[in-house]
Amino acid sequence: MQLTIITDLNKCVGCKSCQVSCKEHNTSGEFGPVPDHEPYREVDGMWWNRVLSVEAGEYPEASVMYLPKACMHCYDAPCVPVCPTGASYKRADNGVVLIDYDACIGCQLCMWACPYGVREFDEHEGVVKKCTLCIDRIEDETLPEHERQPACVQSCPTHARTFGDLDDPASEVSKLVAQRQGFTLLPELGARPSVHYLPKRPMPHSISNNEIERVLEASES
Amino acid sequence: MKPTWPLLALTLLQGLSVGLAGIAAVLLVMGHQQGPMVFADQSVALVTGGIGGLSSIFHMHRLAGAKYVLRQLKTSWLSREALSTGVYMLMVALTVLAHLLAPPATGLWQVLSVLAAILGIAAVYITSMLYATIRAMRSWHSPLTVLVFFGASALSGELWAWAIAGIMHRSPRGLEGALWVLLTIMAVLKALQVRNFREAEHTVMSSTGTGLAQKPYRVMDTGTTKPPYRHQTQIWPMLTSTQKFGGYGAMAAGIWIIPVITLLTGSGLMADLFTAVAGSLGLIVERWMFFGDATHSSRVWFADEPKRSSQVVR
Repeated sequence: MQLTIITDLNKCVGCKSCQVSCKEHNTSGEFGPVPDHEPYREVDGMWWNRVLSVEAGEYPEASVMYLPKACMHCYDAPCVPVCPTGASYKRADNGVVLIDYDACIGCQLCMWACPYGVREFDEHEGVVKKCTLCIDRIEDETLPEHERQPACVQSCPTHARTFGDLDDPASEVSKLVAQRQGFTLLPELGARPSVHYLPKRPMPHSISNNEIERVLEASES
Repeated sequence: MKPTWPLLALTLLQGLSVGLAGIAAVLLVMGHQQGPMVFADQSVALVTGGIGGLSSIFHMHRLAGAKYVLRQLKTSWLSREALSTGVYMLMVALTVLAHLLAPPATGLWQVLSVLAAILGIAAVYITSMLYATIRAMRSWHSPLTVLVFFGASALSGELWAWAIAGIMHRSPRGLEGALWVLLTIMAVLKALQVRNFREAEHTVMSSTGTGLAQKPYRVMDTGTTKPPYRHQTQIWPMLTSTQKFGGYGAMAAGIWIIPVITLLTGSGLMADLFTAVAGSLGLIVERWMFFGDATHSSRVWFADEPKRSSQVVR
């Protein structure tokens, strides 16, 4: 089993509700895993999920794309073998990459090894932290079935994010990746990330009224 | 990435220690009868290696987990580094003790000296592989990283052996020739590595499409993607051209220009010490630039990338 999140880049509108709900769910004051010591002054603080705004082209032929970027829970996660204490590990039962804060020494070697820059160093506790795929939610059997999914998936207003098992060919995420040619980031670095993105469809052709009239006239004559 | 002083101290002092232990072993094996000088080299190797090893403690931000550091010897070069550097330091300490306690005729000192040098070479190899095997750090992922670590280790050891020989009024045969050879080899290796760094910087760019299927693109700063990246130490605000020029200039002046001028024009103890100090300062700058000028693959998702014009237009 490999749990993952698929993001449809056509549906993502860059509202950052996933970014904020991640922070909200994982921050419980001073003792939450995501530190939030100066929330009103520290916009460059720790975020386990960051939505990038990516701009392409020049006006008027320009487009904007939003890319939520968190831990990719890679099949061959490069952060795992480099860890000297075994604090970084990948669970065999569901493929989620996690950090044991009690064993972490804060050497940050895993941050160098991660190609995606999604691990963050907590200087107050001296350990590295990152997205847990909301493991506390997805394994909480007291929650209703439909709520056992990451906070970012549940909060997405456009349903751009889908959560599921990538190793199950019948799952929704597997079907989306297969049917919509889902892609991963930096595949050349060999980490085999499980998180996929569904590519933006090309923009529809814009046809002017003059063009329509010209075609209609031609068909009539 | 952000250079930190524990990493600079560990890698530089470990290299210096191994360099000195290696030169001591070579002098002993070649039978140059330089007992006091070899012992001085080994004593300095013990002190510098010890300081380097201690400084690595400050690289750990949570000492409570330190007891697990040898857990992943099978996969982690950092686990292997902790073990190999510890074993090497133990062997250097035994070598120094053997010279102080055992009769010279037994040959124990000679055997331990050679063993210490071999273990030191293994320790430098393991430390350099820690950096060279990180695929995401595009500047370091090259065999050149290993070669430059060996070059810096040999050169720093040679420079300090040269200074120690001057202090003890000795001039072992071949030491000056070896210094010239090492200066030349290190110049070639470093030039190739700087070329690698520029190649990595040029490859990891959003405007080339790296990182996404669609290209070219620009990353806009949304407030959470701007320097100084306090929580993301694998990247660092890109060095400016002036900083790069200054850094590599200071490195060249310290490692090559000043030592070569001093070797050609000066002689005596002060000249030897000046050469060693200038070379060591140059090597500190070299290692600082190794960290500070490195390009990580995640740089493409941070909005400090300068807009670049064509590099080939006439």
